[in-house]
Amino acid sequence: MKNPSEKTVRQQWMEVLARSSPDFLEKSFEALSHPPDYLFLRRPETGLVMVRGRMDGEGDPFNLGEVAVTRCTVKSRAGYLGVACVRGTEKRHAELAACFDALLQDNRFYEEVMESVVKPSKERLLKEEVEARRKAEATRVDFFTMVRGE
Amino acid sequence: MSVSYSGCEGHGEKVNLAPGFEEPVMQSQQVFRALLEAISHPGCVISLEHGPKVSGLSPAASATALALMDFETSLWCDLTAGTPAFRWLGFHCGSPVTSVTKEACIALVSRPEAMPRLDAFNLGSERQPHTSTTLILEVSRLSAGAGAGFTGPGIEKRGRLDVKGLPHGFWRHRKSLEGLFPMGVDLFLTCNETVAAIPRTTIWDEERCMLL
Repeated sequence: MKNPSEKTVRQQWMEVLARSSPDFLEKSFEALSHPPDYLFLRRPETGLVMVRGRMDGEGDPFNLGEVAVTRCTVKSRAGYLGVACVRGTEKRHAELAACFDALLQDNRFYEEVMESVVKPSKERLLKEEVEARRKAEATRVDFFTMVRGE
Repeated sequence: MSVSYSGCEGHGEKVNLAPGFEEPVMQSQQVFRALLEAISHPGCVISLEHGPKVSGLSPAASATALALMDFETSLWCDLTAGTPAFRWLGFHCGSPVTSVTKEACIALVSRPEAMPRLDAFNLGSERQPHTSTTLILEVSRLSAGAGAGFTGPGIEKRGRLDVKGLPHGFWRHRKSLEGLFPMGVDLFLTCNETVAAIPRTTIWDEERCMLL
């Protein structure tokens, strides 16, 4: 079986789009050289999903809690299906993410969207993650046992 | 539905998938209201608007499916897997598909000429008659005022419905299920942008039935 942690290229860009800031996606969308035409197969809709976890990634699954997500499916004029599921209730975010997902499957748009949207956003997310790790790291406490003297 | 996730960078798979309702909230309620109208006046041909155009389904059937089906209604249908209509149903309704007629909550029959007998579907039980299958039958002609007669609740005197596209002996077989009431199946007959309902309470005119 394929390792589920291995993500395909599409899954990777879908993740980046879903985690990008809606403002950034909006600006990038407006800046596209050819504003794309698309129609809704499923308008943005918000619902709850149960997030499940495993203790240390190995134990039995347990329910962590519910989280609001917004999903959307669009079809670009060229006929590509764009899907998005984003955390939160921002409908426009889901719409834009789905639209970019459709464009990334289209070779006329792939390079432009990859360079102007996915890569910069991915870099920003990485930077934020490194920063968060750095801050968390500063509070690390190492426990060790003192060796008693004779 | 299956979506390819690999090797689609700049050359993804194009899909032939039609949209659902334009205004999901309003239109699904309007369609539901029209279906209630149809089932409370058996045999009346009701116009059903807002049905999206889907290849392989009439607009009335697509509207009925969107209004009645969701992830909790198991579906039996005679559509071939992978066809645009089948994928459309899977995407917009999300109903679990079953190949067992008795397990179906909704049955969508695009070619009723070749459909299983009505008693092959779930007739419900004495205690729980509402667990029966609701059938959506795509017929090729549907007009009131002529054809076989029927009586029953919701019909003032005697209605007539002219239906084409049902298998031979269909009404006679349905007649044999009338005695099982409250068990039975409810039928929605769809044709273009019209629908007529024949719930289990409707009684077909014996004399004319024998001729059909």
